[in-house]
Amino acid sequence: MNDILQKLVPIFKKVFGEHTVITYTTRQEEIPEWDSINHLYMVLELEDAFQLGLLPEEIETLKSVEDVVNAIRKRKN
Amino acid sequence: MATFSVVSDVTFDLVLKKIEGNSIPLKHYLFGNVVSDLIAKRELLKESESVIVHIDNFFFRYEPQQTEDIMNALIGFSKHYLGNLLISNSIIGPEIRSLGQSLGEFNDGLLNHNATTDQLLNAKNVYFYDFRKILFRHGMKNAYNFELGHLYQMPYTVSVIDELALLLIQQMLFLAAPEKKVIVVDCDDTLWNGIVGEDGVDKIYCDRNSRGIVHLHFQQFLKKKKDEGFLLCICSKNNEQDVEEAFRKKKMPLSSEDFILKKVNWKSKPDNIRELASELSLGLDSFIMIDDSQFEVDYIKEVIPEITVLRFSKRYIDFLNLIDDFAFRRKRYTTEDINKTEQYIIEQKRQEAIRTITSFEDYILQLQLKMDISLNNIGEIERYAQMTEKTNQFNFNKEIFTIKQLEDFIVAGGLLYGMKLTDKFGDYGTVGMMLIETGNDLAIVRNYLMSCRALGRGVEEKFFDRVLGELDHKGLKLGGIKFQVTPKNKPAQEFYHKRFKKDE
Repeated sequence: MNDILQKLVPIFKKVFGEHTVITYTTRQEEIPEWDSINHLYMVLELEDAFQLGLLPEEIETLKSVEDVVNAIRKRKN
Repeated sequence: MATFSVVSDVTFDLVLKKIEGNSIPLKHYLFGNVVSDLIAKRELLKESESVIVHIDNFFFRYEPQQTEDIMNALIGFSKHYLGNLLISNSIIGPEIRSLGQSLGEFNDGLLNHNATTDQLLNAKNVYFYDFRKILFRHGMKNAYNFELGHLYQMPYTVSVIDELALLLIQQMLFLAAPEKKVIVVDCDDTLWNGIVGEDGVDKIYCDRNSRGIVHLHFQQFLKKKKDEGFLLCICSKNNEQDVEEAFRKKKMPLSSEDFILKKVNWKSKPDNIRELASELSLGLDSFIMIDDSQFEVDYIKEVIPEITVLRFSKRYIDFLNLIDDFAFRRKRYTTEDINKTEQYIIEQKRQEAIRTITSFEDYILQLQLKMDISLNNIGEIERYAQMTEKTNQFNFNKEIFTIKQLEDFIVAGGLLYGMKLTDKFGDYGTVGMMLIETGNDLAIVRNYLMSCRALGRGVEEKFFDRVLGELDHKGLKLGGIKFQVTPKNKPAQEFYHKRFKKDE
């Protein structure tokens, strides 16, 4: 889990701006830049970094860092 | 820096982010219906120096008729526009191949060359950017992300987005920069393999064998550029007689006479290049210098920043990238052409009366749009909730509702009008929704949303009017509208101001 989170930090900074700070409990509404276009941007960067393809229903349920970590972990298993 | 606008059928935001990061300012971004935008927003688009029209025939699987409509709209637009029109080459193909004739419904949307496509191909201000090459290089499997595409109308992978942005940046910089006129080349290890002054003429190579082939192809490339009108020059640290002997004794594509000027001496290359520029009376910014030495490349760049310096390498893939450089491209449109174009436009306006699609209204009419309006349709509630989250452009206030909140809204007496749309090409599904709060014979528009897929067809007006009619029928009067400007809801703002003529 921690290694996934570590890998997420630079991705979140790239997508939502350098000032973005995330923890495991950070939620979408706490990051003002997390709108639908940046959501798409984030998914693209995640898929690229972790070499996975998410399904529409998975993409739509990503509302927090925890959701992202879980989705990646589920894919990696 | 030149400005540009984009008309696109896929979500182009991520590409635009990268282009704007290169300080090329975007004027307008129209996303959705390419045909109606090109017709109805013509005046708006004229404000910028370049218009990019990005159409993805592979992803959207257009019917042949739709592709033809796009083609006609592009031709019409190119004739009224004096700037550069940049189009992806994924619209015209050598043949209409059928991915799906066996499936009986789709083709890949490419148009055959015919009289219509030729008009576009020959238009002076139309440039094609090589999107098919990007697709080819990545392979469809690595280029498209259909899951995201179907969710966001943005079907590309990160690497395709990056490459597409880079390609468009290069193309726009090319269009903004003065055209190159002179190609200056080094000799040893560039025009041929080997050092003529040390190895001797017998030990230099420019032929079909492995040691010479990249140099042979380079010379053939230069010969072609000469035929296209480029001036060739030599700038080489060498003894003049050695170089002349090489041209005399070696059978190579280029001869000594192909070069208009030669600077073969031991002076510094920047000095020689400056002499070439003054003898030819041409600006240094119209020069391309090609040299195999990284030292010379860096040095010339440093001393003469306005010149384009490219490094020659014997690796074949580097050679392919070198000859692909935008510096070697010819612009199609020059200032002398503009007067001719203006006369052309007048003639075109006369002829336009007989064109199939003459106006926005005609276009709408022939689409055969059909709206299906429903009230409190629980079966579609998931889609409605999704729309409140995903719709940005035509969204009156960006208030997000969950399924539960929408259900509560209806239970509390709210009216949820939904709209499904079809046209002669097919079904768009649920694309519009309006939330109405009621009380004391008054109706308040809590929100009004229209998917970008449906915008630009006049549907937003018609749906609105139909709902107002329904409310009137129920004895409700329009008591207010909840409208909020957001950074992304320009289309909704335009609609709102047009209908209610008041400022925020």
